[in-house]
Amino acid sequence: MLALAIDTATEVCSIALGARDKVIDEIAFEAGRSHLEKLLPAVRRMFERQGLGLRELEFIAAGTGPGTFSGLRVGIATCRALSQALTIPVWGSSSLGALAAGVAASPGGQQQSLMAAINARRGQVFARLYRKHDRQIRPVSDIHCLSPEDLVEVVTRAAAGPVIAFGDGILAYHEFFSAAASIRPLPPQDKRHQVRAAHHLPAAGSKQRYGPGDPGKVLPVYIREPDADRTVLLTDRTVLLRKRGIWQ
Amino acid sequence: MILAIETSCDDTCAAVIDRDSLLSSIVSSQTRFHARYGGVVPEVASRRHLELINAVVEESLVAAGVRIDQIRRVAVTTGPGLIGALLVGVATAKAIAFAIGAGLAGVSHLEGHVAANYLPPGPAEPPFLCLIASGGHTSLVFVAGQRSFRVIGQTLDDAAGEALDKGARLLGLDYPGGAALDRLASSGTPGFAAFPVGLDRKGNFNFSFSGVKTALYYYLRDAGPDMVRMRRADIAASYQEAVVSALVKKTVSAAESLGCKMICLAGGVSANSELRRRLRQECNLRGIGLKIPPPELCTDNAAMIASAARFLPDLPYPEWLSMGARAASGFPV
Ligand SMILES: [Zn+2]
Repeated sequence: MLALAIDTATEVCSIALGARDKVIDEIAFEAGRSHLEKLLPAVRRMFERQGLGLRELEFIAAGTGPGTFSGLRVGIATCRALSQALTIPVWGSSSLGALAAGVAASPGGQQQSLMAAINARRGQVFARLYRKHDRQIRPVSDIHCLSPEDLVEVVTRAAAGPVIAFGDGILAYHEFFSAAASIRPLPPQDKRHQVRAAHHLPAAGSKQRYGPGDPGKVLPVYIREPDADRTVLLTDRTVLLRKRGIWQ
Repeated sequence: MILAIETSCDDTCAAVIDRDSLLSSIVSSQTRFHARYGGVVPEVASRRHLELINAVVEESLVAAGVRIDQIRRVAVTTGPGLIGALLVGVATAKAIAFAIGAGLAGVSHLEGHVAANYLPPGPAEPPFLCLIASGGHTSLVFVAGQRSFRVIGQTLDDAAGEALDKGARLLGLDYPGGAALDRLASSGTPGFAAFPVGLDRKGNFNFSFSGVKTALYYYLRDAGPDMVRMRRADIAASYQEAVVSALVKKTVSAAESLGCKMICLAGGVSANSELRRRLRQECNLRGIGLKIPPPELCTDNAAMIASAARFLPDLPYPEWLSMGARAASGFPV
């Protein structure tokens, strides 16, 4: 049961190959704003070094964020197109959930409060609280999109005991979160701040199936509404070119 | 067999072409989603593209009666356009080609508009002069051969279609108002008010539409609501006349100065009845041939991208796996 998982919610692109409970191979690299350019070459590299063909793939899992919109769109469009072309199912899987699953899988207390957070830019983070019980996680809040200050307030009000916090949303404001009594961030160098696509692999086992009659199933979790202030009437594309000195 | 994908602006498009026969062309227009904002919101467009893309591709294959593994090449618009919108099409096209082991061709959107003229009915043969006029571009391009372009002129500010849409909005018509303006103008008198024709000098083949738009704004303000209400059709006709005149005059004089015997149209503004009438008249007078593709090939579509791809080489594999999208890109040189 060969499955491919891709996560492009953050600037680190993560790809994993495996079965439900077993990881065969993993790649993570700094994609910055170049997910479109870097994703497929990395997928090809992984299949080549494993001596596997794309046709052997049976399932795909796509990280649905929340995170950077264009990164998510590239990852999800790629997963959906692979699924369509190979006629195999694709599932969406929460990137915050993958972060929390990564921490829950490591040794630690039986019962813990966790908070996964992804940098939302513009001074905000996407964050969700989870409850860990016997290495299983269960979300216990909505997905928030808040400033670090507001998030601390929400966490202080909601949680019993200190919350273990991680993700690049925590890293971006590490000092600030470390100072909050209700939040205990993992140390900055901890690898578990990064989303690992491997934690999406278990998702590739549920029963939903993407098919021709069912096109829009896997979509990014945007949380933020589109910014309508950014309305553009289409100023001539050729003018755009000249302004950037590309054309004439 | 080519599968083409186009997502550069606000229409999600896919088409299948087999040599010279267009097997399918699907366009899922987003106009109604953008109408309430009075323009295109890039983030809204990108979201809709991702929602629709697989269904549109599927529909193009079903309509063509083709299985996806019969596709030998995937063609996709790489720019110019809205970057978030382009990303969806390019990511999808690359992943499909990668999965089925097909070739990939990256196509310029502008080259695509020109290539709409190579599709039936009555496919055109270069050399010809092509006027691309839409809500997103206004260019005069001399097409010496299928892969040889020379940009003769372009707008310095707004696109022609944008000027018509903005004028329509000032006249109280709903976005996108170009077509409604055309209808309103048909019952008006073009000579009623005088609006300036931008860069109206001999030998200058560039366009400017921001002046005429501003002139309309002040005209409406000074005329007052009563007069505007009474003479709306006449004002619309006069405004449209100014925009169309610029397009016709410059296109015809560029053709004459190049000794070009054939003019082809591309872009959504080709549907404008006044432009068609005036251009036909001027071309007949001068013995210049005129080709106007059917409306569905003039507005953004993937058939034109498929058509252009027929004249392009496959990109080398595996290098194209790292192909990106370019918001600002012109004709290949
Ligand atoms: Zn166009």
